Amino acid sequence: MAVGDFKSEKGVKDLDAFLAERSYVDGFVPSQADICVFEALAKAPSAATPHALRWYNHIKSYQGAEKQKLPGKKEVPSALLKGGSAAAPAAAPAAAKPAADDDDDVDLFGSDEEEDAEAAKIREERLAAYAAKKSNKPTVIAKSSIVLDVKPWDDETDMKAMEVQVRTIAMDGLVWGASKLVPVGYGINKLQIMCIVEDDKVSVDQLTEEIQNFEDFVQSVDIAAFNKI
Amino acid sequence: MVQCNLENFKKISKSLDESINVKKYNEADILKVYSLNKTHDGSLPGFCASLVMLAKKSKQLHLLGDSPEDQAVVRQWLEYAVSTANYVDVPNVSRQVLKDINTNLSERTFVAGNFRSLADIVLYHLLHQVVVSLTFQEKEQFVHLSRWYNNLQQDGSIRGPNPLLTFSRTLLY
Repeated sequence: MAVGDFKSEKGVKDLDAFLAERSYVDGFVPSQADICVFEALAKAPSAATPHALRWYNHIKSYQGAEKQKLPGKKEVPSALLKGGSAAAPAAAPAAAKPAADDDDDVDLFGSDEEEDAEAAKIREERLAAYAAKKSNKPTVIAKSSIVLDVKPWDDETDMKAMEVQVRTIAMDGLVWGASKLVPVGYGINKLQIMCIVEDDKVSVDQLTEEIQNFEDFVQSVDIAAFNKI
Repeated sequence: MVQCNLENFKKISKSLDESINVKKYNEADILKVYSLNKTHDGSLPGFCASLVMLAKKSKQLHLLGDSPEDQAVVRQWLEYAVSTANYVDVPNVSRQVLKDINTNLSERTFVAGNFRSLADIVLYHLLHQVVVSLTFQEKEQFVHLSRWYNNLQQDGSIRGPNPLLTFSRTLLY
C-alpha cells in the first residue's frame, strides 16, 4: 500500500481501522508521521470513518510553529502500512498476513495469560477474604454433659470424703456439677456426679482414670449418661 | 466506596508533581467536595478544587486549558468526575460512566478536546479499578475509551504505581 492510497476511500477505511485503537499514527504522542499522513489525505474523513475523523480533527489543531515542533521523521510508519492492509478484510487473510499480525498472535496468548493471572489473583483475594471472615467467626465449642457413677469398695467407704476427693480433680475445660448418693443395695451407695467437659480439652477416659486413681475409695467408675450439648 | 478517595488523590497529586508531599493531606481535605463555600488560608477544600490548586502551583496551567472555552470544558469534566465517575464501582453506574466517556471520546483525542488536561489524569485514576476488571470483549465495546486509556497509561508520570494494562484488538470475535 502506498502513501497515495490515503486519497482513496479504501485507504481512509484502512486508516480508520488502524486508528481505532490508537490515538496517533505512530507511538503515543503526536509526531511528524501524523502530519505526513494528514497531508496525504485528500480531504477530511467522513463521519463513516469516525476514528480517522477524530484523529484528523486532532492533528488539524496543530498549527504553524506547533506543527513544525512535533518530533519524529516525516514518513508513514511501517506499522500503518502493514497494519492498514491487515486490518482490511483481505480476500485471502491467512495468506496475506504480514508481520504486524504476528504481533497480534503473540498478544493473544500474552493477554490470555494475563487474564488467567488476574483471575487467579482475584480468586486468591476472595479466598483470603473468606478465610479471614471464617476465622473471625467465633467457633462453636463442643461440650458434653456427663453423668458418672463412682462405686465405692464397700458400705464402710466414706462417701463424703470420696466426693471431696473426686471434686479435687481440676482440668482445663472441666466443670463439676451436682452430685447425689444413689443406694445400690446392702447399705452400699454409689456416687452419681455430673460434670460438663469441653470435648477438645478433656478426654473422658483420662477423667475416669483420674477418679479410679483414688484407690482407697473408688472401686470403679462408669459413665451413666453422656450427652452432647 | 467512592473513587474520589485519599488514595486516588495522592496518586493524582503525584502525577501532577513528583516532588509533592502527599502525606500532609487527610480525608477531611478531600471529602468536603460539596462544601466549597468556605475558604480558609486562601485554599479550597474538596477533591477537584485541591487538584486544580495543585496544578496551578506546579505551573502546569496547560492542564486546565488555555482558552476560556477549554477551561470550561475541563471544569465540566472535573465536575463529572466528582459527581458521577466517583461512583464508578457501582455496577449500574460503571456501565453508564464508561458509555458517557466513550461517546465523548469518539470525536476527541482527550476528554476535553485536543490537549491532555487535568480531567484526563483524574479520570484515568478514577476509572482504573473498573478498566482493570474489563474483559477484552468489553474493552472492544468501549473502543474509544480503550484507545484513550491506552494512550494515557503510556506516560509513566500519569500511570504512577498502576500496572500497564493490555489493550488488544484481535478481531477474532
